[in-house]
Amino acid sequence: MSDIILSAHSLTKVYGDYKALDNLTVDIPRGSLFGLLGPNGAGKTTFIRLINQILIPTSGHITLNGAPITREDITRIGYMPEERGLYKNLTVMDQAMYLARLKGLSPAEAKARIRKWLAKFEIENWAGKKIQELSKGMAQKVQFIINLLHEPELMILDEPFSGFDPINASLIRSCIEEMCEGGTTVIFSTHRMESVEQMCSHMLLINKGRGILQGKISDIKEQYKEGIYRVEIGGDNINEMEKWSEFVGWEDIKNSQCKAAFIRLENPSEPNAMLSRLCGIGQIRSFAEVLPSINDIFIKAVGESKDSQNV
Amino acid sequence: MAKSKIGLIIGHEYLIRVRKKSFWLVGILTPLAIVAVGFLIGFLSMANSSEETQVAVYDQSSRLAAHMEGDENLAFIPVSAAMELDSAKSMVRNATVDALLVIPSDTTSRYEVIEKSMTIYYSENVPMSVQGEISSQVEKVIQDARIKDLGIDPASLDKTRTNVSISMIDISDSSQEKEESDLVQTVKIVLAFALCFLLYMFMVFSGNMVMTSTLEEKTNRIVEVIVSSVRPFDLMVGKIISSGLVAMTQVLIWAVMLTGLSMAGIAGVATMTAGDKMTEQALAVAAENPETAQMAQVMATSQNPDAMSEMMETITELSQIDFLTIGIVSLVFFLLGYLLYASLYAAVGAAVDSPNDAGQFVLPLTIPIIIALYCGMTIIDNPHGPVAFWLSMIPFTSPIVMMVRVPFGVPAWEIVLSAVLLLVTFLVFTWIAAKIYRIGLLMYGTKPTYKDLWKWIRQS
Repeated sequence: MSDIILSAHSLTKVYGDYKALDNLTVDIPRGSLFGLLGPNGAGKTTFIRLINQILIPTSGHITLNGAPITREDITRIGYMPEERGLYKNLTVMDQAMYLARLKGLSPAEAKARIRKWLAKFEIENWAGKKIQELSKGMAQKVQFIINLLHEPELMILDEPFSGFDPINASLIRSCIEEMCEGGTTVIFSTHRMESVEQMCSHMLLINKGRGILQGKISDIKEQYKEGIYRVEIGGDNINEMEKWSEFVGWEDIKNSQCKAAFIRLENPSEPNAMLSRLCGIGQIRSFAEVLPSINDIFIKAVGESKDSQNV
Repeated sequence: MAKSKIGLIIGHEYLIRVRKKSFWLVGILTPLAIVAVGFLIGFLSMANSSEETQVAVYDQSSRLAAHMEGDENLAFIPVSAAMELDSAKSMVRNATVDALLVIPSDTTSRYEVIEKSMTIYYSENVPMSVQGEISSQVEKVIQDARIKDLGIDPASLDKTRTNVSISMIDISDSSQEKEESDLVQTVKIVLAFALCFLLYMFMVFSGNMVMTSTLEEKTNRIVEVIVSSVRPFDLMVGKIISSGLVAMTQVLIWAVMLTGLSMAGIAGVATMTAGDKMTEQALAVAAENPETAQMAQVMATSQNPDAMSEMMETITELSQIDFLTIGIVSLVFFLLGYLLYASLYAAVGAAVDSPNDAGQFVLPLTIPIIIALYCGMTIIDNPHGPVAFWLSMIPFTSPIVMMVRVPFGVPAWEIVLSAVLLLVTFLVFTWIAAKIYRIGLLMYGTKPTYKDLWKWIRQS
């Protein structure tokens, strides 16, 4: 098997005169926790629905494990949509059974797995309860479980944390990371940059239907870093730094005699010279390269893609 | 794979509906209500007729009172014309009699005064039908008197009365000439109405069931999970079939209940009365309900050996009806008609967000059904006329109208033409409905217009 579980090749989806997805090409590595990132209306959900074959692409195609995706592949994919919903007047067990069987599980297998997962979340006693008796957060837990019952190779989660309180969010998060360690590829779609920053190994940034940036997050950060270092430093002469051409700005640190400064190096791979200059003016508490946040990268990348469009 | 998933959907949707308490309540209460209303009407009309209305006849002309004949509902009591009118009236007020008929004195030869100026005085408890009954009695007496005046003997007049019966023979099939008895005609009419109503019920009730369950999944937002597991078309087909099965189960429960109830009723009547009269009545009642007719005949046979040969005769008469053709043709139209409408209802359910928005799209579906049902009822007098013909060609009315026509025999070319038209319409509209369904399922927020639907149909 190849290292790429899913690829999109020049994928385009047009609704009337609106291009929801524009010539998107992306490879999703097997076993990655893949962040699908973009503002609202960027085309994330359209891309996901194309993977799930709920929609048919206007042009381009998707391959799963190197072969064009078919209806039969649906059992290998799990999907939790952003809009959560369950049958309100069915019991947890009844709807879990139905949905698991629609994904191709046998009744016995489905039942065993439902029991196992309910036990794992310590909610065994909910099995006979109807969804309308559960709170919204409880129903979300049930939904999360239902979507991974068939143990898919590829799990797609659309805004998985929305609606969860912090405790349950961290439960879900550790569950996602566990799945990933177990070999499942997870596509994690969100407009919240910081959750991708914390969890994902790879990402695709889309804006207005176009893929503008993709790859390993560490590589992307490396590519977008600007040679900025942050130094925490104390001493009487530190204000001298303001005269340096490399100086960018101050950051106030509360309850400390130190101040923090940002410095842009002309040659970022050789910080030692700068370090010895800093040694001359004060006591260094810390000295570290500042990697751009995904938020910064996003803003920059969107700006760049606009420029390239204009040319 | 896909087949087993449709099976799964059908099983799931069927069980959900059949497990509901409301399903069984409707299943059991409806036939009980029908029987109860039937009994109530029967009881009330019996209570009505058991009371005899007493009418005092105050005949100032002395020409009519002697000739007035009462019946089981009406008794005429002549009172002396020497009495004061007021004291006669007081008989009504004292409730000695129910009503007072005052006939004015009249010396004209043709009873012209009486004809115009009779009066009935009454207090409460007099059925309004009494007026009509009395006037027809008086009319008869006057008519007889006039006949006599013309010098005609009423007895010889009776001899002129005739009773014509004309037999209807269908010769469209030259190999056999069929003479149709009243029984066969009645059975055909009952069959026509039953088939027509059954299809109507399936279209409207199951159609609505498909619509609401689609709408429910859409508003629950579970539909996106479902369509990431099954093709939307499979989901639609699963819902249509399961709703049809639910309706079929409901009808079956009704049939069982009604059969059980009428059997119990007939058994009750049969044990209560040894006389033939009541059994005949039971038979008459049962004749309206073909399922119980058989049962009633068995009951009757056990009491009356003559009925045995009568029953054999009935069976030979009924065998003239081509049940096989009727069965096959009505099954084809039933299925196509149901599937056509159910898929359109499904599309409506998928297109809108709330039941309130469904109205504007449901109306154009209901109108042809209502037209077909109404016209189906009226064309029963002339099942081969132009209205019947054209309505059974138009695909949106043809299923129901054909149900009415089929028992009376429809030319093969008409059946084939109509079926082909219906089949083509069914395929085209199911294709359209499936498109609307697939796109509509994931469309939230705005209430779609017909223009939107057209856009959805055009985009793949």
